[in-house]
Order: sequence, then structure tokens, then C-alpha cells
Amino acid sequence: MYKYSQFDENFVRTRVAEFRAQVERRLSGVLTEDEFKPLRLMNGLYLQLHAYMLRVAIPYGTLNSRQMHALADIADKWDKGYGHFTTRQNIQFNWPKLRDVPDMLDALADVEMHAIQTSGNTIRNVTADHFAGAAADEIEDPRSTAELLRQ
Amino acid sequence: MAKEFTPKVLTANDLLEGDVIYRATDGTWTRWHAKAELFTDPARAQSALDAAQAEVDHCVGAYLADARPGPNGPEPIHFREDFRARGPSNYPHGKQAETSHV
Repeated sequence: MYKYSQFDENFVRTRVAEFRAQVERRLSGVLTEDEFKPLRLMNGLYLQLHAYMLRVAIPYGTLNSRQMHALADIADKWDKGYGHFTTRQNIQFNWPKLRDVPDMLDALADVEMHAIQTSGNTIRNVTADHFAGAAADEIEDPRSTAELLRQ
Repeated sequence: MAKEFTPKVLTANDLLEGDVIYRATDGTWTRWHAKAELFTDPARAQSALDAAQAEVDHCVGAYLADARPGPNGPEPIHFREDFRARGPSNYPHGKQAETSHV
């Protein structure tokens, strides 16, 4: 199970603060949608057909119970009480309000999670088999390699 | 000969919630297609679109969508607009959870 270094922590917190300021500027009309769109996509926030969608990275599909509880709390507090796990082992919240997203990202950072690079032409989340480390006939546990890629 | 103008509604996504919204006859935004203003004059439709595109702090991606008059108000013509007007189709949630008239 990965653990954030001080660098990771500082990086994610800085990105959340930066995005909070960008959202404020968008809501006040200082930023146009054309200017804001690439900024929100860098932070995993899409505007889909019916609502915004926030996609959260789950590195190689590994969660601890504290993180799972945090995802559930986020769904209860800022979404409709549920999220959708994706085939790439991420989770998506499908009904967030733009104003709430910085708070959601802060709550994710509290448990060493983020939504950075979960959209667009970027290196996406690192995925692994969901039986990694648990299958009896496994040739090699991919998680150490996946962790190197995450870092 | 000029092509006949198809009536339009003005639609966008709400900046704060992302929900589908429509320009109503009183100039406000509504979440319901049936309450949208049906533009039959191309100049008025374009003028409304220009005004909406200047509302950068309220709506996102405003455009004009084809519509037709119906017994309860304007109705979408194309599948995509019908889908936008109703909300998600996997099961009743979003707008469909709030009303049975769409």
C-alpha cells in the first residue's frame, strides 16, 4: 500500500488550493469556460450531458478502509450517496456541484487521494489485476512495479 | 430559395450544477424543456444566443436546438435533445426522479 511522501502531500495540497482559486474565478466570471475547461480537466472534472463528473484516481485499484470510508463520505456529503467504480479501477462521482469540488478534493487529499490526470491526453491512473497479490497462480505481483509508475 | 427556419429553443448547461437549462419566455433560465421559449424568428433566436454566450458566469456552452410546438410546450426533435431534456436513461434519476411529466 502506497504512502504519500511530503512531496506528494505538498503537491496535492498545492493543486487543490490552485484549483479552488480557479473555481472562484470561474464562478465570478473572471475566467471564461474556454479558459477554465483545460484547468478543470487537469483536475479530473468533466462537464457531461446532465451534470459535472469528478473522476478520482485509485492507484492500481488499491484502497484501504480509511480511503473507502472517505469516498463514501464524499458521496454522502457532496453527491447523491453513491459513485461508480470504473473498468480502470477509478471511481466517478456523477452529480457534484462546481462550487463543492475543491472541498471534495481537499477531502480526498486528507486520505492521500486526488483526481489529477484522470482525464485528457495525460498518463492516466496505473491499473493492475484486481487479484494482484491474492491469486495463488500469480506469476508475479504487479503492485511494486505499479507503485514505481505511480511515483 | 432559402431553407425554411426550424423553430429553436435556447439551451445550455448551468455553470454551478451542470444541469441542462433552457431560456424561458420571461428571459430567465428553466430546467424544463416544455417551459422554454420557442423561437420562430431566426434574428430573435440569434440575438438570444448572443446574449446567453455573454453570460459567462451563469451558463456553459449555449446553443440553439431544433424544437417543435407541443400540447404542453416545446418538444425536442432530435434524440440527443430528448435525452438531455429527460435526464439519465438507465433508471429514473436526475430530472426523471423529480417529475413524471417529462
